[in-house]
Amino acid sequence: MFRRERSLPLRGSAAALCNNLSVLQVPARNLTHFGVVHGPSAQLLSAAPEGVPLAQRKLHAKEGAGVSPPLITQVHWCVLPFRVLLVLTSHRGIQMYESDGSVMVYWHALDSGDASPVQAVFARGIASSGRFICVGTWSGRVLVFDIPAKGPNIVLSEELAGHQTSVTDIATEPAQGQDCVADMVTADDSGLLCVWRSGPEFKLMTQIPGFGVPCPSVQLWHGTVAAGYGDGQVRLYEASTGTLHVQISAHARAICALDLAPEVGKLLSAAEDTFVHIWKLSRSPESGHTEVEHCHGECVPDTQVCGARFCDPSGSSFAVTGYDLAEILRFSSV
Amino acid sequence: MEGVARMSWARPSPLPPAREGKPPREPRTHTTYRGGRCRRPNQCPLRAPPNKRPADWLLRPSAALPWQPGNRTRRPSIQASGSQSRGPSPAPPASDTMSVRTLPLLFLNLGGEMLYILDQRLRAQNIPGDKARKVLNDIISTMFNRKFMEELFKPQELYSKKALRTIYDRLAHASIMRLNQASMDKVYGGLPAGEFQLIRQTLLIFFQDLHIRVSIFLKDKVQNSNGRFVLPVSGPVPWGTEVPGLIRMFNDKGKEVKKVEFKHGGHYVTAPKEGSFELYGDRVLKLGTNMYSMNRPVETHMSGASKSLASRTQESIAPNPLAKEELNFLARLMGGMEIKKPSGPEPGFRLNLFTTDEEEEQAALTRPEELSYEVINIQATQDQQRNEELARIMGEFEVTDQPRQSASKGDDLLAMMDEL
Repeated sequence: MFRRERSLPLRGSAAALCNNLSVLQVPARNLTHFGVVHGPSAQLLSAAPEGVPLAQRKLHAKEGAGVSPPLITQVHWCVLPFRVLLVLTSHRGIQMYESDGSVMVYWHALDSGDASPVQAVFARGIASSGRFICVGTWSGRVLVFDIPAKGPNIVLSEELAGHQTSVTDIATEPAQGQDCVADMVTADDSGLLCVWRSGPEFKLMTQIPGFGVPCPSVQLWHGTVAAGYGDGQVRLYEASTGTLHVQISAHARAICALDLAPEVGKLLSAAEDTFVHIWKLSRSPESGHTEVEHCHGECVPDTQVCGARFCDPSGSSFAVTGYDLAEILRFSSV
Repeated sequence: MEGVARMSWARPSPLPPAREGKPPREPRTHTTYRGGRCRRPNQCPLRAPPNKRPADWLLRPSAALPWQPGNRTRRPSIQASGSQSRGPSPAPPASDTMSVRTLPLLFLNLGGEMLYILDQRLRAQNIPGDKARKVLNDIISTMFNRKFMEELFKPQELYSKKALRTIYDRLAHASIMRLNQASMDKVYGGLPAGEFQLIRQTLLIFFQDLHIRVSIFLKDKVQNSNGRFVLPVSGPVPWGTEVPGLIRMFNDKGKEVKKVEFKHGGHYVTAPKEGSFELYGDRVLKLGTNMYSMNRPVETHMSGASKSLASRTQESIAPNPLAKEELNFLARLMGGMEIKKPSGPEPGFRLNLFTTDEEEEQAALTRPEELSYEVINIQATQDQQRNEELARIMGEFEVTDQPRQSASKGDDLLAMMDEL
């Protein structure tokens, strides 16, 4: 059972983007950071336990050539072996900051080269894999940045081609041992999933085709890909082979966010139907098949949910944002 | 909504100066919807600049106008079609808003809602039927003017709220154009689902942080008192979506090995059928329909029998005699007035609770037998004591004969829209 905790007020409401909430837990300092996109700006908020808000900061996308300020598509903290960077993607390019958002350490402008005038140019989909940060783009290309242990000498090391339509989300997990096959999955607007193995050169391992329904959010846990789709379905695939293991009719509207609590294998799904569901992933000992059990459902009345994250690795608390809502809703288990 | 047009009445601007060797230009006037000429040609902000075609002046704030919508209004970057060569247009700068296909949807949807509201206001104010039809016809014709549609459907950034408001203001004073129909299929027909999601997100950015409460939304319980819209967790799921509640597990061969149900918290049912995308057809959804005609079934094809009776307005007769007769009847009921034997035919009036006489007759025909009733006559004028008491009460009522005069021609429509 979960109960509603004190909300965190935001200075600007949340935009109707997918994956519109990022959470960074800093257990050493007993702090939790939250990041939400408002539109042309993103809000960073840090809170103490019990939801006491401490500091707020606003970040903007770099000015563009057009008439209106460029819109931010996503904000996300990337935890790397020796540092944490905050990455902000927009219709202009990719900005990377120190984890508190105080200093911009890197800026990459998007190349709109062969885009037709009707096409929106943007970056979207952020994840870290080892010492790399991977960011998706409107064209389907995934940019791989090599991040040094400290300093601003960030280098674009690779451009991955695998998608034909705009990337929506990227998920990674630490390599599961020496014989690990796959540790990154990318998703796009056509529902196509690409499974990669990271390294000095990333290698495409498998492609899981879509059905024309966008896949706005994806997660990876112990070699299992969890994907949420625009038709409210959550599907779990074996990452190395692409075999479908579980299909859940989870929501009545498009799914906007998925998150994982890796310690316990809990999956959080949120959709525009105002519901947030928590699922328990497990592997059956006899058959070795992936199994799913529904743990909890929460309705956020009259709210088009746009972001949801667990707030601790054991999945005992989570936070939710909604379109046009100027607060972060928090829930914790009793 | 701010009354932007009102600012211009206080600031008269001079006639345009005479050009060399030519007589001073006559100010252009335009016909207002009431059939007269606009009496403030030099000051009217809605005057079409001379020699400009409708598509131009609708979309481009012109320097010839005596007022500008404000510094923050975005100037559309697309040139009017008349001044552009027929070759491929130069690529506009890369868009910083998410989708460049959003404006037609926003404009046509808001325009449609404006038409519903105008239609309701025209009927509520008893505007004569032919005049009301002319107003709506003029506006619809201009909205769907072919050149305007061509400009509208060109990929471009979304206008600001102020710029969009300016366009609707001008639309309200449009003159008659040729009626044409835009083909949505060419632009939206082949779009992938991801593009639609982008268009949707762009539209939601446009409406973000607006918490305006609308009385008809509050009344119909589609909006809460805090301004947020109600999102029901019951009803049919969209076509192509499954009712939530099922977990299916498969083995490596793809065979289903386990099926588990879970409680998802809503009360959803399967979609009955897919809405029609044809020009006329059953849309299934209520989106885009007229909230003011809730009691009538909505059909998109026009046959003679199904034309809504409510769309026909009564010819307005001079209100005074009728009002006077109603008050006389009330007075007679209350016993405060002697019943004079009428010299001519009975001047009384008939009370009709339906919108039109035809509806009343229809209802009478379709009324089931078992609900018929006997007519009982009640004499309400006999009791003398009650008459005095009622006469005293009636004396306290004030009767105003003066109907509300409109301030000036050409002002009414804007005033109506501002009041909304």
